[in-house]
Amino acid sequence: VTRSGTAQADIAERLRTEIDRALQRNIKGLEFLAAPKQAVGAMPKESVLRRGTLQLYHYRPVADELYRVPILIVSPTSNRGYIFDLARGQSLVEFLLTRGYDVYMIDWLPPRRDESRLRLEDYLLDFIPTCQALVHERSGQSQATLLGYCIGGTLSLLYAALFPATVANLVLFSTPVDFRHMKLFRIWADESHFDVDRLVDTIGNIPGEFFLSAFDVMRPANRAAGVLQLWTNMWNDDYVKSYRMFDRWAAETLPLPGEYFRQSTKEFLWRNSIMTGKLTVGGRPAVLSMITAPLLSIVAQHDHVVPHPVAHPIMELVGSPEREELIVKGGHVSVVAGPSAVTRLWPSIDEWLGKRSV
Amino acid sequence: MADPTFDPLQAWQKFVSDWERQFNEASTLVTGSQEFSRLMSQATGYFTALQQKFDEQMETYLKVTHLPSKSDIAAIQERVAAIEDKLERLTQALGCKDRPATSDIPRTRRPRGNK
Repeated sequence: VTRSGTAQADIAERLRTEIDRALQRNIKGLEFLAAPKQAVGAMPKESVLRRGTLQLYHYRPVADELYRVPILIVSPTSNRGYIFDLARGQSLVEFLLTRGYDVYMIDWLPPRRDESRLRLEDYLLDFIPTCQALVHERSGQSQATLLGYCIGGTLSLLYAALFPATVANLVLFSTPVDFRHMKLFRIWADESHFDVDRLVDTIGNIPGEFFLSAFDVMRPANRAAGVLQLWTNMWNDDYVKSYRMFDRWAAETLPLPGEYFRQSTKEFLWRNSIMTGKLTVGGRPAVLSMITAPLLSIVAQHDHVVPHPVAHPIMELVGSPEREELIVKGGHVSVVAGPSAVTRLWPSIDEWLGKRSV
Repeated sequence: MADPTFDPLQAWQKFVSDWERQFNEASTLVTGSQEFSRLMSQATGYFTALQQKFDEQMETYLKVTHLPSKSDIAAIQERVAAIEDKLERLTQALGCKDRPATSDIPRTRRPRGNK
């Protein structure tokens, strides 16, 4: 009798909670629909350089003693860099600052119409080297740790292959190198029917919506399932805030300069030239075996954009005597800013990087 | 009698995530085919041609009605951007930027436990 009574009391309590949540959902659902864009960017920063699509930030330090080696974050060219600094408690930048690192970030702005001619050469022989030189000038340190995410990781690797003496360490999140295993993208951009030349020659910069719809086709149920999960959790303010920040980030997918898109499609998706070692940038070979800096590559278990076989060959291609691969829970985005990144991954990065930053 | 351990919320969440996985898997079978890819490329080709035609006609229409066209605005934007770039370079050259906030902070930190 007592057990049955307790079970009934539990059910009644649960029912009360659910009714309360249903009411909260209705009230907060209306607030959600009327709310302006979710604010993002937690940590104070200073703009060091702004030139067209290129933006370099320097974050204000919060520690009274810094590691010698500064960090230069390279954002993916397809997305805004605030994924690294969403909000207090959900910001890799905040975490690194509190652990005593000096943090800079390359963020990309939508390319202007006259920037449709930008090529990989502009990114690898001008933009990143210019930012590295500014970090050197401001910090007094000739080497920096490069921290890259997705295609920003690929750019970091290629930069490190071209300018190995300026790189102290490499930390890479979900970084593609073997494009043979990006099966869906390769089928969609198949050389036999995807006329990249005509597309670029006609429209110049490739709109962000083009990539956003490709991701939607890749996982068509994700958006609807996300909305259903949002509705279920509408009573939970933290969940809603988090959802809105990620939603805003995904919606702000950047256009890409046309030439850069054409070159990336041909070199990476068609020729897979990082793997074959035949990639040249401005006439210079960009071969990953030239990299000698310690390297940490982080791969997410459930990443449908950059699955393990796409990122894993980094471990075989680089010449770094110290190299480590970390396979973590999560998907392509949550690897950078998801709940398990905050509690487990970031402290592991600090442990790996701290001793290599003195 | 109803199962007291049954949690309707958990069941709902499981249903949503199962549906999401199954739908995505089914869709990959279709979208991962060469046929789908060929159709998508064709659609992109049509879209490109349409966009080109639309741009040409709109440009003519705006010219006739004495309104600034996309290329007029792009030309102004390019000039503003050139001025912005030049200002940025001048600022850099003159050293007008503030001293870095890190300049007085010692770079002597060591990992915890190694001090």
